[in-house]
Amino acid sequence: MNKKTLILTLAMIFTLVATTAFAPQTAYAQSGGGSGTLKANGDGLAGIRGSGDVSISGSGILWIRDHAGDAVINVSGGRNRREGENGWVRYSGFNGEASVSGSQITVALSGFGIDLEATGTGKFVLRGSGSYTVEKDGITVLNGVWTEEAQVFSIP
Amino acid sequence: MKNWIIAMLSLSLLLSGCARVNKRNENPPAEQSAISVPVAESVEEIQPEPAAPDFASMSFVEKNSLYMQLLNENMDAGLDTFAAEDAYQRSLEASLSSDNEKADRALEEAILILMNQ
Repeated sequence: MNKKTLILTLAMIFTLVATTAFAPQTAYAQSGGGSGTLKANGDGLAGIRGSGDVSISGSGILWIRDHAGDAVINVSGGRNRREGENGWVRYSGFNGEASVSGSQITVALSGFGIDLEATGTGKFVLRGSGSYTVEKDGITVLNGVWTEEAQVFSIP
Repeated sequence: MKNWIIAMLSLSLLLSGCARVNKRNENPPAEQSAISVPVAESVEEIQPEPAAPDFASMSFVEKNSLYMQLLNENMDAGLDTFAAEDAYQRSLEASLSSDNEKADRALEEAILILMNQ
């Protein structure tokens, strides 16, 4: 191996190590497993599905879906409760807070002043304007802002 | 000489007549505008439908806000909002699957349903 080839090889290894080390955290979050805590606040749409405990407050339209039939649901501030297709329950004119626990739940709030905290495993979508953090074992493993386009992230 | 004068007068009369006919044919817009007046009046009498919002220039939060405002208004007016809410549910489900195109389409559909009630 001549000197030129050696320098080229070292440069390639360095580039590979650097891109791996500084890769966006979302890649880690989307492939992770276990249990974490999501905290998010903003305006638009916040939705989460999975297993665990969800607390959400704000004003708008609240949507809850209990896939397994074991959810414990507490809602205060829901004006019009309606049952929709596919097992959805929606609360129009919602202005208050809700807590939902279960093994297969989906909770979403569309509106303003959304404050969401969820602990467990699952996936979440945040659309509009706001910010969020995901912690696992006391360490922030993911943070960012809500986007105009919906993106699905995983709680690691 | 007399014949020449008569021939010249006849020719000039003929030419001026042709010019008048030609001028009349060149001015039909005046007659058309006179006809179009009643048509314009009848268009004004038709009640226009509410103009669709310019969705392309609106953000998701703006569209979402418009939907909720219309939903509240229509609910307060006692209108049946089930169709719009079902459309919005499709939008929500699409958003949760990050299918943005479908989500936007269903949200816009929900808004239009409420606007046309």
